[in-house]
Amino acid sequence: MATVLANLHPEGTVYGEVGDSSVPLRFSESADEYRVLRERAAVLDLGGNRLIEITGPAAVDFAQRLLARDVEYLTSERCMMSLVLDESGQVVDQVLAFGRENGILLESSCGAGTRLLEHLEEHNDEGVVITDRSADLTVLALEGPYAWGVVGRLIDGELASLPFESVVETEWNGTEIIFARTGFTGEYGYQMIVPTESAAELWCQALEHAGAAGQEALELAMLEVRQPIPRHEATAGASVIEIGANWLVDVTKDEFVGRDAVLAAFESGQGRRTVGFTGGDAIPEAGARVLAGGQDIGEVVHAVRSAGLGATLGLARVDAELAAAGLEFTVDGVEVTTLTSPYIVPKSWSIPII
Amino acid sequence: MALRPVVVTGLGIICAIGRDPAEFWQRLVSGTGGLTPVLDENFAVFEARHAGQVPDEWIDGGLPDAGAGLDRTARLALIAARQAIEQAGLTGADPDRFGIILGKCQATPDAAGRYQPMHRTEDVVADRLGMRGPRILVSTACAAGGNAVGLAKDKILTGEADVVLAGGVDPLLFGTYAGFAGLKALSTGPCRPYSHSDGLNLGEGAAFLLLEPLDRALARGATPLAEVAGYGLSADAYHATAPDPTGRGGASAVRRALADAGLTTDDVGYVSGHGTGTPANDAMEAKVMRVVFGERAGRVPTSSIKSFVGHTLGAAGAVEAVASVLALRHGTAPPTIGFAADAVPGDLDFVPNVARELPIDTVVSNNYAFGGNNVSLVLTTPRAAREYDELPEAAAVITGLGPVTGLGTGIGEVAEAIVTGRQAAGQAPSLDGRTFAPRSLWRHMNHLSRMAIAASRLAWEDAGLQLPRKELDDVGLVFATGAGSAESTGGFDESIAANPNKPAVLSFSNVVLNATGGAVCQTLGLRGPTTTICNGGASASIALDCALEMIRAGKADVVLVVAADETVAAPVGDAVVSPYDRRHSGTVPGSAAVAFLVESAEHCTRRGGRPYAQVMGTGHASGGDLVARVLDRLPGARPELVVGAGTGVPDDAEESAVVLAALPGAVLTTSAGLTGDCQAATGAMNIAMAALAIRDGIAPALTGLVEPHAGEPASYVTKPELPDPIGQALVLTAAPGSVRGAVLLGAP
Repeated sequence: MATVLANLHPEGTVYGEVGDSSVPLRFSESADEYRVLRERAAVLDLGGNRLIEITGPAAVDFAQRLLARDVEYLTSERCMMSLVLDESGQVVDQVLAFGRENGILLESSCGAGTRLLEHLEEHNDEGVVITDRSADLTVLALEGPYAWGVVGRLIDGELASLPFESVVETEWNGTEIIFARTGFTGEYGYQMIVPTESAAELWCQALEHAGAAGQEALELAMLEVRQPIPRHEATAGASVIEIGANWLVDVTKDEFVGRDAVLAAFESGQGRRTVGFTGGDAIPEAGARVLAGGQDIGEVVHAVRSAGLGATLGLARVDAELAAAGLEFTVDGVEVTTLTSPYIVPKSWSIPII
Repeated sequence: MALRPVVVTGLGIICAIGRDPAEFWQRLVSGTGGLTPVLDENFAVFEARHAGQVPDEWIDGGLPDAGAGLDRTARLALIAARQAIEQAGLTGADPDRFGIILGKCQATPDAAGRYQPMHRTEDVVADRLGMRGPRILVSTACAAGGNAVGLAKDKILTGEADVVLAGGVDPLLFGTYAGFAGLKALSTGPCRPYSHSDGLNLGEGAAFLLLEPLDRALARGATPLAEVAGYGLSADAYHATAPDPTGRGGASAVRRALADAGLTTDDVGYVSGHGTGTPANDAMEAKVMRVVFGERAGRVPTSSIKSFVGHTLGAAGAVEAVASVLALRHGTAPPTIGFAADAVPGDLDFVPNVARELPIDTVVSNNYAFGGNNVSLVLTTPRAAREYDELPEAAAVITGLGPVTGLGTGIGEVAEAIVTGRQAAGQAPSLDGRTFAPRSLWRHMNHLSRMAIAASRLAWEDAGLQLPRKELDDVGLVFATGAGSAESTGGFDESIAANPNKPAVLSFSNVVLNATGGAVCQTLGLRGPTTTICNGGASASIALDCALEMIRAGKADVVLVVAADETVAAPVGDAVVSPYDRRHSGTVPGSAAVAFLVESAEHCTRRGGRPYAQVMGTGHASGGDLVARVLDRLPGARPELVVGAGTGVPDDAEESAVVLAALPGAVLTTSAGLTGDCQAATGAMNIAMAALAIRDGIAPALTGLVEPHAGEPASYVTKPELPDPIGQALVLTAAPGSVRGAVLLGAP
């Protein structure tokens, strides 16, 4: 699936296959796009995120059973992030759930829509209506310390200070859109779900106030604040606790698909834990061994070069008792140090919305 | 439609910068503030030292005759109340048509330092000054004073009163000071609203405005000082203590107030801001100004007088309403003193440091409170007497019941318990098995809020109501409680006693009486007009009155009334409460929340709802001879059933005797025999039981009744299945010694 904005993106845009989607990895230089995101405001083409609507009388019951967090009272002015698990507790996807008056709208993570849709359909015991809205709706996002200013210039300054995970239906350019305060990178973040036919116009207008950033810059900025990126982190066999995504499940709920497995993993106390590390210039491959005092204690999950740190930044999954900040490990023969998250301090934290 | 103009004819005030309106105004225009280090040495434990205190000699001097034995709160209130009546030149008012609406944020101590009922201060003022008309204690925290002025106008428009004294009072209390200090909300020096915004100062005081219809004021030769052109209430539905940062709630209150007044933003000449000086408040208010006034925002002067008097909490709205009336009279905007000289000049005009003469015909006075309650008042220069329309009648029905009591949770369980004759006096409701709010909120809620939210959601579900988001923005909520959360109040007081610098801040945010109402709004996403009524066991019927007024005035089609109170007494095992029985005089305190949904009949019909009952009338009496006088308020009532206020106390004797004598065809019952005395919730339960009797033909039975105080056992409901359909049912509520209410329900 290609993004609907593909024909607007500049020549030379580098696309990559992420799951079921072809998404812009970078429009020019990732380092520049990263700087725009961290220092000003970036506009993001989230065309790889699938929108799936669940409606029907049992929509909320179904969503409550399929999502790992509590969405029973998710009103049409709230959204929240949740994992979707299978029976064995494996991550199917990490979704943004929007309460709607007639049900719930799920936004998949990048490229994971097909798998999510199949999973939902397989579990549809309640007979809800599951509709893939990706043909008629598209997601654009803004991230950055001055993204709130772009919201003001683009849509309505009043919306910029919406509380985190608030949603409003509003009008832009005569078109009904869903506007949400979200954020994946620690910076001010907003999403706009717009009819596909209006997406190009909104993208072009946004570019007048913000710079485009691709998936590489976005994922780097997410990693720097330990925002989970399921396609890198939800490796086969890893439990939610090993991934460190406990906050995206709510075991106080009586029932949801995967709950028993999460509880069992928690109660067993077994398995590894994920911790951030930095060190060296080389980028280790996923699966590279992590050694402590010569002993194999785990493996690298995902690593990149962090523009914010000016060094390699990665996640390692290691023995639970060693998943702590400030320890020295060896990866591919290079000394690395474990970190406490966030690994950089987002500029937005010191910039008020005015 | 132009409703009867209501004017202010008298002002009274005592606060840190004046012991009467003249002195208060002189200090305002000269920019002379009154924030000083707290004299009470107990406050030395706090880093923040400044507050707006009333000198003791002003209080002693203001009450040379009648103050003996009264607590400080009552004395402050009495001084200001007398001034307002005196300035208005009011003499010979009919006591039955002379009302009082008092705003108050805190439960205040009596002269011996013990907590007393929220409405006690109001009773003292009313009884001493001869008011036996409408009596309402409104406790929307820091918005209460402004809210009181609006409710007073309503009481005149409904025709229940000729004159209403409206105002607010709060003293400076150590615990409250500790709570604000714990929230890091206090400025260490005098506060500087809209510039440095590093925190607030607390203050104390009382202020009253005397309201009456313009035509009556002119007829008796009084001078109208200002018209109360309109008011607007709203709920943020956002957070317990923080304002909605978008300013939506505040903006909506201003817009509703202007709509109520029939005015536009272009008419507004000055805005009296809330201006506490906290960063969250000041930033939100600036947004409200920009959102409401748009391009014109910078040309509408707005100032805060809190840097003169401190934040007087429940009195603040009334203090600022008095200042606003004086601003109109003198054509002068009081300044925001303490405005930092080095503040970055913004786009708004905060009238920094120096009062400004300017033509003002319309003032908007805003207040924002914990619980996300907002109020805006619109005051205008008085115009000439003119033709007016009566407030239209609007049929209202009760369409959903949500009892959460020891008897059961939800009307289904409760109805079954009634039919099977179950008794649960003093037993706490069970909320096991279902969370009624998102777990992230539910976890942090106290028991009172959980009960109230459960009751609200159950009533909503019982009504079968489904509304789109936009309509939820106009659904009203009236919360009724005698004493609020005993759990949070107790927990907070204990924490202060242990260490005043380590208050239980989460409990503190729930000590304000409207916190639970705010939590209901937040959970259900209701942003319509909202208020909180604290008149003991009569709170629910007064709350119903407020709901009916919202519907009549076209401010809401749907209003949720929810009443909740709790006891921290240990549950009694098999307590038997037998109201109206001379052998078992004694009651058991209980905990409950009961909600009912009030809808305009037209709205209910349009959506195909199935009402329980129609509200045929309501009435309240205060002062003395309450039972007889409250029945007189509904002269046409011919009920077959009376759900009385009896709780097993000696007062039951008078109630049963008067009711059975006045309504010989009716049988009497009450819910307190089954649940114990749950204060405001018992009043709401009685209303719910009458509605249930009308639609479903069942009522709580007084199965243990053998020797009634009055009449025969046959004069009472002794079997839950009623033999004949009920065409009319009368409900009685009571705050003993203060107010009694009557609600007449009929088959829809």
